[in-house]
Amino acid sequence: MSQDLRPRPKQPSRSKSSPRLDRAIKARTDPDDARFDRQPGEPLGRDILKNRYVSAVMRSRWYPGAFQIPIAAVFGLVAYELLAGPPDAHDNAGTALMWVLWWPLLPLLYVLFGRLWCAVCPFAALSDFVQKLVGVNRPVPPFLKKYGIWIIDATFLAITWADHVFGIVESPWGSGILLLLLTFAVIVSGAFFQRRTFCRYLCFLGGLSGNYSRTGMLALRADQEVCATCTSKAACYNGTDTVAACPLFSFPRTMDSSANCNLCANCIKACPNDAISITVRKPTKELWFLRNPKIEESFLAMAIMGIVIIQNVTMLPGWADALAWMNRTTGITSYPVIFTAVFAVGVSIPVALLTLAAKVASLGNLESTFKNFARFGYALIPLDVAAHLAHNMFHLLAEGGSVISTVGTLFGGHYTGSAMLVGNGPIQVLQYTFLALGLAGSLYTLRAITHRRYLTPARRRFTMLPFSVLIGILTALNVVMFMYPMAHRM
Amino acid sequence: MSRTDDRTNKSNYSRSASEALLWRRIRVASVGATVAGITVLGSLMLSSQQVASASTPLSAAVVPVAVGSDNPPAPTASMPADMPGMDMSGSSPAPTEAPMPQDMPGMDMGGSSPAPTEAPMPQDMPGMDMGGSSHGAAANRPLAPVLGTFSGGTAAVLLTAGMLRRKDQSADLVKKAARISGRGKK
Repeated sequence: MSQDLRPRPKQPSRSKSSPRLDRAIKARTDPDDARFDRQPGEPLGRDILKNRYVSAVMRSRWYPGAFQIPIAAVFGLVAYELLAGPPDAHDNAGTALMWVLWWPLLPLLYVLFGRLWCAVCPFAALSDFVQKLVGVNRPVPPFLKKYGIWIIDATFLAITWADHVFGIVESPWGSGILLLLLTFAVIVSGAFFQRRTFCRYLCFLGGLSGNYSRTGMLALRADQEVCATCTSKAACYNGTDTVAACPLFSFPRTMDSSANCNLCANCIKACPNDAISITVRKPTKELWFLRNPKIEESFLAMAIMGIVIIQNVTMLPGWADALAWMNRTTGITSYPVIFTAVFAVGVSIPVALLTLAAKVASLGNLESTFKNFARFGYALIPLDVAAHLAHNMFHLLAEGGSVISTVGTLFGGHYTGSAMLVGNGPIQVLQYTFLALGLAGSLYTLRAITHRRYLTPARRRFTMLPFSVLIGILTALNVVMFMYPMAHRM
Repeated sequence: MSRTDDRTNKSNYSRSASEALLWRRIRVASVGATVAGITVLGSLMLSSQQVASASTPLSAAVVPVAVGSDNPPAPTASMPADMPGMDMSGSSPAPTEAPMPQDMPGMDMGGSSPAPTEAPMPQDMPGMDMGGSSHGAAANRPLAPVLGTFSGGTAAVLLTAGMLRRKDQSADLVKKAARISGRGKK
C-alpha cells in the first residue's frame, strides 16, 4: 500500500470546538482532506440578470404571480376534469394534461431551468394564500428538518406503488384523489407552518426536483464579498416589508446548490446591494463541485432509477407473460402481492448495486462504504434524469395526441388523428440520445468528483472503476428495455 | 410622559387592537361560513346530480344507436303509435326460425370452420384504452362524500389555524401592552 493509501484517522466532529479538537484537525495526516477543503467552489458563469429584460421580469412585482394565475387556472380545470369529467382515462382531459403533458415535460424543465416550476406551482400559490389568510407560522418541526428527505423518498415510492396497485395514472378518479390529498397536505402545512414547509420538506416532487435541478442550467448565487459587508440583517433570507422571505429556507450567501432554490426572485428583490446573480452553466456542473453529500439524496437518486426500471418493465410486452409465470410458479393470484414483490426487488436492485460499488471502492479509496454511497450516488443523477426523460418522451410523443383530442373535445373541437405524434423510430432515437448524454454526464461527473476528492492516481482509479461499471450496467439495462415496444397508457 | 398621555395611548392602542381582533374574527367567520357553505351546497348539488343521473332513463332521442346494435330504439312520445306500416306494440309474435337446408349452395354449415385469427391491433387505435385497469374503479365515483370530507377537513384546518392565530395575536398584544405600560410606569 502506498503512502497515500494508508488508513486515515477518524475525523473529529466540527460541531464541538475545543483546542484539543482543533489541534487534531490541524494534525490530520491525509493530504486529500486538506486539499479538498482548499478546493474552490463552483465558478460562476454569465449573469443573465445583466440583461435588462430578464432583470425587469425577475424584479417585477408581478413575477412569479403572473405565471401562477394561468397555471392555477389550468390546474383547476385538471382537478375538475379528474373528479367530475369522463371516467375513462382515454377521454379525460385532466389525465391527458397531467400525465401525458405535464409529467413528461417536468424533468426537461428541471434540466433547462432548475427548480423554476416550484416558483409557479399552484400548490405553492395555495400554500401562500392559506398562510396569508390564517397562517400560524409555527417553525418547521425538527423531525421534518432531519428526516424530511426520507419522508419524501418514502412518499415517492408509495405513490408509485399505489399507481400500479390502485391505478392512479390510468384512472382519473385515482389521480383526482391524489390531487385532493396533496391539496389537503398543502393547506395543513400552509396553515400551521412557516413559509413553504411542504415544498421544502414534504413534497415528493420537491425531492425529485431538488435532485434533478442540480443538473440544471440556471444557478442563483450571491456575491460572497458583497455579502460580507452587508448590514441588512439577511434581507435575502428574512425578506423585507414589501418582499416575502425565501420560501424554501435558503440563505443565498451560503448557498452552493440549486436543490432548494426555486428562482422565485424574492432575494433578488430584497437584496439592497444587488449582490444576487443568476448564471447560466453547463448541465450537471453543480455535481462536479459537490461538497456536502447526503446519503438520503443518493438513495433518492437510486430509488428513482429503480422506479424508472419498474415503469419500463411493466410496459414491456413480456410483463403479462411474466405475471402469468409468477402466478403458475408461486400460486399467488393477487396482483398487488406480486407487484409489491417485483417493486421491492426493482427498487432494491440499483440501491444494492450502488452499495456493492461503494463497498468495492471503499477498499481502494479507504473511505467508508457509507461515504462512498453518499458521494458517488450523485454521479448517477445525470443518468437518472436521462433514463427518466427517455421514458417520459415515450409518453409525450407516443400518447401526445390524446392531449390534443381530449382538450379539443372539451372546447368543442374534434381530433381524429392518432395518439402517436411521431413514430416509434424517432422516439427510440431520442431515447438513446438522452441515454447517451446521461451516460456521458454521469461518467464525467464521476471523474470530476473523484479528481477533486482524491489526489493520487491509485485512489482515483480504485474509485472510478466500480462506479463506472455500475453506470455501464444501469445504462445497458435501460438500452435493452427501450429496444422493446411499450404499451400505451392512454 | 404624563398620566393623561399614557391613558390616551392606552385607549388608542386598545381600540386599534380590539378593531384588529374584530376584523380577524369577521374574516375567520366569513372564511369558515364560505367553506361550510360550499361544502354543504356542493355536496347537495353533487348528490342530487348523481341521483338525477341514476334515476333519469336515457332518452333514445339523444343516444346515438350503435351501428349493428341488436336493440331497436325505444319509441319516443313524438312517434304516433298507430303509424302505418309500424307495429309499435310489444306483443308481436316471435319470428319462427325457418329450417335451413344443410346443403344450401355457397354455405358451409359444417363445424370445421377455421378458427378466426386475431388480427394484430395497433397500439394507438383511437377509442381504445390499452391500460385496461381503469374501468372498474372509474365506474362509480363517490364524489359527494369525498369532496365533503375534503371540504370539511379543510374547513376544520382553516378554522383551527385561524383560532390559533387569533390566540397568538392576542398574546402578542397583551405582551406589547404590558411592555408599554411598564415603560409608562418608569
